[in-house]
Order: sequence, then structure tokens, then C-alpha cells
Amino acid sequence: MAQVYFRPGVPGALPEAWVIQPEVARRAPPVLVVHGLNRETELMTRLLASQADVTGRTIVLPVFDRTSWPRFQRAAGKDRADWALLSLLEILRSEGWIGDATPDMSGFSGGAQFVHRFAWLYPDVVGRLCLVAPGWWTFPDMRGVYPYAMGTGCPNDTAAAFRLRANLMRFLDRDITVMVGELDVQQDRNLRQDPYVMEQQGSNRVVRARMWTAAALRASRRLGLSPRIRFELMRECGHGFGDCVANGALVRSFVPFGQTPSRLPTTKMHLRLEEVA
Amino acid sequence: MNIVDMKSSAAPLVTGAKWSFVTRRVRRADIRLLDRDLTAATSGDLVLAEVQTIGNHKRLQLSDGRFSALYPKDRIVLACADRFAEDQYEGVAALCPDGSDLLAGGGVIGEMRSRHGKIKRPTRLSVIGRLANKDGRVVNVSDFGLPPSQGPKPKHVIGVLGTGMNAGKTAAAAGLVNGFARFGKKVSAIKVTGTGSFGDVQAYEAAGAAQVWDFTDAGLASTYRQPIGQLDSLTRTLLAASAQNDIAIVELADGVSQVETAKLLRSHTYRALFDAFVLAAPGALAAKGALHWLDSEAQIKPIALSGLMTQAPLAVAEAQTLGLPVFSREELADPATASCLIGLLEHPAQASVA
Repeated sequence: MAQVYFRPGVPGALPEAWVIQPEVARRAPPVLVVHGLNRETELMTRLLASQADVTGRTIVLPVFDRTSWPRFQRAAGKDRADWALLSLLEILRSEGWIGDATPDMSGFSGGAQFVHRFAWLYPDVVGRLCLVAPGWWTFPDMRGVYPYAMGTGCPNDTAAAFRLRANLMRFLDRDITVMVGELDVQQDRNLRQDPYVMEQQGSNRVVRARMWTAAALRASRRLGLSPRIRFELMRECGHGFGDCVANGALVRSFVPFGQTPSRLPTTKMHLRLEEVA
Repeated sequence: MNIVDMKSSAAPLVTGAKWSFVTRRVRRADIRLLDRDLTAATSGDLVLAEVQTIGNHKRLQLSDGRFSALYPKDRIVLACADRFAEDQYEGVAALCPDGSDLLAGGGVIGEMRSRHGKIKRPTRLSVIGRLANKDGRVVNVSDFGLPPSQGPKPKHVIGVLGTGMNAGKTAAAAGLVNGFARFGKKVSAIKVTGTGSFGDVQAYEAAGAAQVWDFTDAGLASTYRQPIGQLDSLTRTLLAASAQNDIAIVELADGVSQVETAKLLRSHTYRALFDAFVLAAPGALAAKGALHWLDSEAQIKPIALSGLMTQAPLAVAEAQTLGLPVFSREELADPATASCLIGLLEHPAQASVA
């Protein structure tokens, strides 16, 4: 039976985190799971716990609180959620919660926004990606300035844009699963709807996910890669994590079986708050 | 006939003296005698002097990393060495019975040859003598340098070059150190040429370097007018001393066309020590000139530009036309930049894609 631990954070410096440890750990890297804008990490923890046992993988759910990281989904925005996650990974490794193996990363909604941008900035830090129903994307082409795409517009953008261009091949050279519910076509308040994004990316999450997947495939082939990018439409699913788990079998892709060996954690020092059946 | 006792006990005069930064590796217990033969002075010799008049340098960098205000009659321990500084002095490693010059605040004594128009005359020193060991042999800072080594170096080595003094090299190097350290890498920061000063090493330490070295650790107080083979050797020694780190950030002093720096960069075996270079410049035109020099004289194409010009958006915009990314110190200190640079070092083919 998987056990759930809560690792306290430091406001503004280190996110809190839920850590799900499988009863029987296999030598597989951990999975980082990033929440959406509603930050429903307790629900996600509950729904993912059994998958930790199925796969034998440790699952880490950082909590980017609204005060410290209000726009965490931008990753390298003003509140620098990317720096916070790097710090969390370092702490979790030093405390023995996770090993040195490169973690896979999955994100839902705003979490998927964060995950694809984080992996693009730090392509050697993470492995496989599962990107589920983000509201909008950074596109791997030059038809816009960062954070919409990799192009440059003003001097302040150039460092960010260069990083994306330089990292593009390493970012795309991995297994990437893009998922979205087939009913996720509502223009809800969390869906970015400014005219620029509507025109560049489409009118809803399904269209946007398809367009990004197509752009990523084009970019991969242009770079000479054999793309490992998969698009999956979840039948009878809207924009809810519970809905996608119940109807779309999201969990299998969100926390898949591991592929590479991992150095297993050696210590468990923090307060166990909850045991999940 | 004058009979002069050239050797006498140093202890009474050295007691209470201020030991300068460039002498920090010297084992003080070795100092026993005073040698008053100043004509035989060579670069690196340890010198005991007394402050005559305060000039440009009003403070001395001490061996423990603090500044100490200078007063007339202060006794100070320095190293005789050359000095190359466009915006201060050029000087040579020579001592004069009538008095010598404090050429650098890190503790270099010698004879000034020229000075910048806006710089005051040097602080003037009376030379008491060279410091010697119990056998009467003059102690040299090279006696306490790391032993030469050609051992393994860190996995990655990035050189930081500049168009001249005050181009922003140290800020760029410190930015790189901070970015890689925050990206989780163990970083060694090295200053391989220049005149001994604690400013650079302290900047590297503050940026989070796991290890910091400069040429004084290899036994030189100044690298000006030193044999190129020796500078090549000390670079390899300091890289070998950094081998347990993931990456070394190596700063070369002055501009790329400065005598020693130019000779080093023209050597393909020396360039081969580096995986990449970053160029710091105060302006776009200076950057363009240095890029041309590097390309034509040393077949070096830096991976990025930085330096003082990054404080001026107009200069940045102009520099961006040179076809290289331009990173401010803050951007270099971003672990996202470190992540990107590591990728370019390990997958150079991707640089052309970017």
C-alpha cells in the first residue's frame, strides 16, 4: 500500500510537496506531477496513489502556492517557478526522497503549461513528458515571441528565445504524450482567450493540443529526429482531472511504468500525514 | 671599501608588518633573514618595505582578504613583480635603494614605467630588503605554489575573454559561476592571468564557486612578462587542481590582444584546454573588433557575448547584430542559461540550430 508524505516548503523559496512512496519500490525514476491553476493536489494525490504501487514509482507533487507562484505555469516568469522546482529536486535528493535518476514529468492543465516550458528550459533534468490539456502553449517555431513561440521581438526577449532555440532538439528528443479530453472545448475562465492566442493556437484546448503536437512533429523532423510524440484524445472527458482519470484512463499515461534504473532513496525523515488505501 | 652585511635577522622588522594578498601562501615561519641586495631582485621575490608617501593606492589588500588603510611608516610584505594595467600602471619587477612603487593594491612592488593620465603617482615605498630563509636564500612566492600538474581537468572548461580592462569579464565569469552552481554543478573559478588581487577571487567565491584559484596559487604574483610556457603550465595545474568539479570557468585578464593573452590564445594546444569562450565587451564595436581578432588570429568563435555593454539596451541591440547571443550578468547567473550552455557544450552541433 502506497504511503503519502507531506514535505513542508518555504514560502517563496521552496514549494511544499506531496510524496507518494510505493509499498514496493522498483528501480525506476520518480515522476513529478504538476497541478493546474486550481492546485487540487490532494485530489491528484488520492487518485494517483494506487498507481505508485502499480508501477513501483515514487510520485512527487509540488504545490506552487498562489501567493508565491501565482503564475507558475509560465515556468520562467517573474515568480520563477522553475528555480523553485530545481531547489525542490535538490532538497528531495539530498533528503533521500528520490534518487539521482532523471525524473519523468506530467502536468495537467496549467501544470502541463509549466511542464513543457520547464522541460524545454532544462531538457537534461527531466525525461518523458505527459502534457494534459494545457490552456496554451509555447510553440516550437518562430511565429511569435516568447512565451508564445521561439521568435525574438525586443532586446529583453533574446536570452529567453535563444535558450529555447538552443535547447529545442534536446527538448523534443524524448517521449512526449499530449492528451486532452474530447469534450474539453469550452472556453472557460482559465482558458487564455486573447486575440493573439486565439489566432495563433486555436479556440480551445483540443485544437491547441493538436496544433502544438503538429508543430512539435514538424520541428522534430526538421531537426532530423525520429519523433516520439503521441497525441491522444480522451473519449468522454472534459476539463477535469477526476473526469480524465475516471473516463480517460489518464493515470496509465500520467504515471507510466518506468524505463530506466534509478538509485532508490535511502532515508525517510519527514512526517507521514496520510496513508492511502 | 664599504663592507655591508647583506644578511641580517628579519624577525624584528617583520613583526607587526602587514602581509599582502599575493603573499598569502607563504609559510611565514620560513622567514628568518633579510637580504639587502636589491639588484638581484627577480619576479616573485618576497620584499619587506616601509611606506614613504601615500599615492594612488591608499589601502593594501591583506592576505586574509581584508583591506588595510596604509599610513606612512607602515611596514608591509609584498612581492616584487611586473604590472600591466592600461588604466593604472605599467611597471617592472625591479627594486631601487632610493625607493620603489606600490604597483598594485594586492601587494606588488616594482618600478613604474608609465601611468594612465588620470591616475596619481604610486604610493612610494622604502625597500628594507628581500626576505630570506634560514639558509639565506631569498623566498619567492613560487616556492609556495601548487606543484605543476598535467592531470585531468573538469569535464567542461569555459574561458572568459575581454576586449580590455573593465570590459566586464569578472562580472561575466561570476555570472557563469552562479548560474552553473544554481543548476547543481560543482564549479571551479580560475583567474589564470593578471596581477594578484583579491577582488576577482572574492567575486567568484560570492557567486558560489566550490573552488577558487588564481595564478598566485601557482606561484606568480603577476603574469605580465612571464614566459608563455609557464602560463600554459599554470593553467593546466589549476585545471588539474579543479578536476573534481563539473566545470571550470577560466578568466583571462585584459584584452584578447594583450601580449600574454594573445600568445596564449594563438596556441592551439592552449585553446584545446577550453570547450568554449564567452567574450565580454563594453560596447558593440569593441565586441566586433575582438571577434574579428579572435577569428583571424586564434580561430576562436565565442558562444556568447556579455560584459558592460549589457547595461545599455541600445548597445545590446547593436551587439545582437553580430550573430551571437548577448547575456547580461543576471542572465548568465540564471540556471536556465547554464542548462542551455551545457547543452551547447555537449552537443555543439545544436549551436548552429540555435
